[in-house]
Amino acid sequence: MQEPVLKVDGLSVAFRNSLAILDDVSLEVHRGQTLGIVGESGCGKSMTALAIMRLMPSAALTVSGGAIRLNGENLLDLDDEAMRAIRGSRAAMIFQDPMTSLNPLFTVGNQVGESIQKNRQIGRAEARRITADLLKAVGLPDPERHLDYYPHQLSGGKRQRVMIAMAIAGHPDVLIADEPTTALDVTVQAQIFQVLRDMQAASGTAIVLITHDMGAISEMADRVAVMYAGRVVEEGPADAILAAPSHPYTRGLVSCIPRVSDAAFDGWPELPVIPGTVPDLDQRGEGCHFAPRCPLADDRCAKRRPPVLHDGERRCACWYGMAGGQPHGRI
Amino acid sequence: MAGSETPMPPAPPKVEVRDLRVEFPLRRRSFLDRPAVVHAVDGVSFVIRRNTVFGIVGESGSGKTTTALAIMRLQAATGGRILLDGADITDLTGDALRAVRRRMQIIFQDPYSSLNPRRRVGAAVREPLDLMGIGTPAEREETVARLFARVGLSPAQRSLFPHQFSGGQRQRIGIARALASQPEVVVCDEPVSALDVAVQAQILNLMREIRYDFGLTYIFVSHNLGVVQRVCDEIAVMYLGRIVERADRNALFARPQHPYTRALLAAVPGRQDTGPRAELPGTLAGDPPSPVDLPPGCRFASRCPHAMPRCRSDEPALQEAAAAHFVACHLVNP
Amino acid sequence: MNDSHISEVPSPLREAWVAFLRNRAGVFGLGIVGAVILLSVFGPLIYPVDPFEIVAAPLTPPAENARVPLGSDYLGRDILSGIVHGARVTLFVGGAAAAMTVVIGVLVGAAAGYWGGRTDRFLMRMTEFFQVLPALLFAMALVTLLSPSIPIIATAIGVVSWPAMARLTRAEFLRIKSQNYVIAARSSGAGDLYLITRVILPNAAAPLIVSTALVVGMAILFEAGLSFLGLGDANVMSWGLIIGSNRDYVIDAWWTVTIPGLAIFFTVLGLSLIGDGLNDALNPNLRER
Repeated sequence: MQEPVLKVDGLSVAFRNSLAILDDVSLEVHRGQTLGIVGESGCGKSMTALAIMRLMPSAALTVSGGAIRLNGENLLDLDDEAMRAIRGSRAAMIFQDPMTSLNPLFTVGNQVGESIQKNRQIGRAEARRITADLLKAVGLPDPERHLDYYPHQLSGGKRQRVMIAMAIAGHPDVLIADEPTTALDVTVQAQIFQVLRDMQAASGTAIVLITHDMGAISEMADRVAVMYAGRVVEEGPADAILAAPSHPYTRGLVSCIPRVSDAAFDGWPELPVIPGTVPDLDQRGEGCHFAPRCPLADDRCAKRRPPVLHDGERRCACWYGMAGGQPHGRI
Repeated sequence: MAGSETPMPPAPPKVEVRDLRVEFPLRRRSFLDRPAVVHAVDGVSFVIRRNTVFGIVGESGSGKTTTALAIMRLQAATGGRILLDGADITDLTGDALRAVRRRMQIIFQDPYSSLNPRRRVGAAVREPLDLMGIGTPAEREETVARLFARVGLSPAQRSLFPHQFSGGQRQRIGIARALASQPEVVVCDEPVSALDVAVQAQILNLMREIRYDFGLTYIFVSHNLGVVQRVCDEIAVMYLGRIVERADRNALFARPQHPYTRALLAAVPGRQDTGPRAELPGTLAGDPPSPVDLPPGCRFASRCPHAMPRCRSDEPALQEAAAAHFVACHLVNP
Repeated sequence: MNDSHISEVPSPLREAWVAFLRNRAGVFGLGIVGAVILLSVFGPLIYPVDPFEIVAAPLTPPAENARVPLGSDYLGRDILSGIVHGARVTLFVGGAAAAMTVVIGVLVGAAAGYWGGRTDRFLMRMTEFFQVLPALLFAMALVTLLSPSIPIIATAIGVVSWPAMARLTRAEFLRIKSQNYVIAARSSGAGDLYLITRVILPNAAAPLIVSTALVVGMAILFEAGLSFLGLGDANVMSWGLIIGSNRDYVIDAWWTVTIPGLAIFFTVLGLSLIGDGLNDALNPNLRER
């Protein structure tokens, strides 16, 4: 098997050098593939994205271990200038809210054009031509006209297309999309997903899609990593995990979100729930972080960190193993 | 539920909306412009039966929230009638309006802006009782404590301020507040869409319990079709201020008729029963047109894959296409 | 649910006070203004020399004659006595003008922001009319036409400084009135007066309190300006009056103008520091988790 484009290896991020926000996170994504990262807020999925881009939101957050390899090169070894060169060219990111990610004072053409000129020695006219091609590639009708629009003149969906155009301008090896469609209507979300897929098919860019929406995972992701309280609790092929989740948290997550179904309903059925909430940073003990909310948890779960079990292409961190929660093979 | 094989007689109407219109004037740029008007809600009619859940779905700009606020008389209607238990409440003012307000309450989407940051949450839940003069002060305190316990909070938490709670807890407080005056109708405006995924189900289950306990009629406004499919008995799909389709939920999800409803359902990612990464069906192109100068004809014509010349000139009326299944489309009702 | 937090429930006001005490500049400002207030209340009792009485040779420099420790003015009146007795009037003018500014500004701004539409347009045109009046000239005209008495001066300052307060109040009302908790109160039958005074105003208070502190300082400066131009009330001692009556002697007797000038400078500085401190203390309080 070829080397993954992006390989996060045992990444840990600490707050004030003591509390672990990310705890031994390992992920990989191959060329032309999409890795989905799911979990509730506070599970560390956005932090993982920011850590990969080395865009820590606060100086109190530091990488305390592990490696982030982009085509084999550890990004954590690079100095700031080398990292800046990688951002926007080999690794790019798009965010949830496209309005605050675009500068309201510049036209679309200027902003996208500038990000192209930053990486390549070309003139303004050439940049403008490339920008128009990019806008066309992300499905903006009449791209020439959109070049002279300001961000506020565009709808949310069009702004997100512009953000994607900017992100793929440098032909990145990996594109990190942090909740790219959460602020958009469902028909517009479908359009954006289509744009991302077309872009991936054309360029082979690896995508890391961060979302809380299992529907988006099943629509977009080849593999999925489920995160909980700073750890990856389950990882593997998206269809296999969605069809038969192993970890009790994944099972809860898959079942508690009502998805459109072909079944007929009567009355208002009670929904399965995961009780409680994600523990705060200072409330996370040594054992399994999910233990306080887990229907299977026992004393061992609360006290000792669960082992990571492997089964073919899947892995799962649970004392109760991989057989769908049936206790087997006490280790 | 038991007894579904013997059809029960339909419950009497609780809320009736006839040809509701809400227009917002836009500010003129100069004296020469003719005054522009946004037709946020443009001739909407439906009947909500007692103890049922009526869903209003649509994307942003569809007028679903404005419709709900107008029913509650929190948004002035520029046309049409609103009836509560058969009595016209459209033009009520003063004490009569106050009496109606006691019977209709609202649960908001954003649990962060729905509580006054400067007021203790116990006082926020007590506010409707204070304003409406329900009970003695001691009784009010007791009611508030009971409501806190009912929505899964500790009565001792009454003396805290909103910022000391999580989003889910705030939504529980918002629900307690809505229940304080013992309403009959509760408008739920995207009640869980601002909450974390695992918390959504917790809140929906709470809303389910209190619905049966308090005998409530819900107007459930949402864009989340997976939720709507489970909680609503009847659903109206809105597009640019109009209802394009209205039907029983199972009919709507199994046999959507309007091209917009079909597109909406097709756009939902990861349906429960289809395999993952199914080919995306023809996604709907473009954005909805601006609700300010609408073109003549069907509002959906500009994005509709089946639009005919007639669609661009005649506006289709909402007509019964199958039993109790109403559709506004020339294709369906030729 | 975490019951352990319930024991300590600081009210927002108390929380703001604790935050204010952490701001050194703000506490320093509060110290200055507190000292000036104490001076205005108790000063005349401790130092009862009549500020209008001629007690020494004219223009005696400071520290030359023990009867006039801070020197005397052009008539031989005690400057220290002027500072001590004038503090009361200076603060009164500042306070009264600020009170008037707040009352008119908040009423107009609240009505415009709350009701909007035609009410808003009418009130805002009126506000703009007062805002474009040249403030000093208008106040001078008013004082000249009526009489240069302290209440008239305070009124004149109030009349020219309320528009800014009205605009600020309107902006806050526009922002807050669309919040869901306001709609929730309305859906429970709350009337206009309840919404304005009990729901919206408390949430709009932070920036209004901050700007009130600044308006007091501005009014004190304005009174000094009027007095300097000879439009002060010559029968009541104020810091402005000391400066105004000695303005011809600035070159020969620096102390006659500099000492009351410094008194004004530090008082206004103190008020500004309080305003800054309040701004910091009241803002994070509104931040939600």
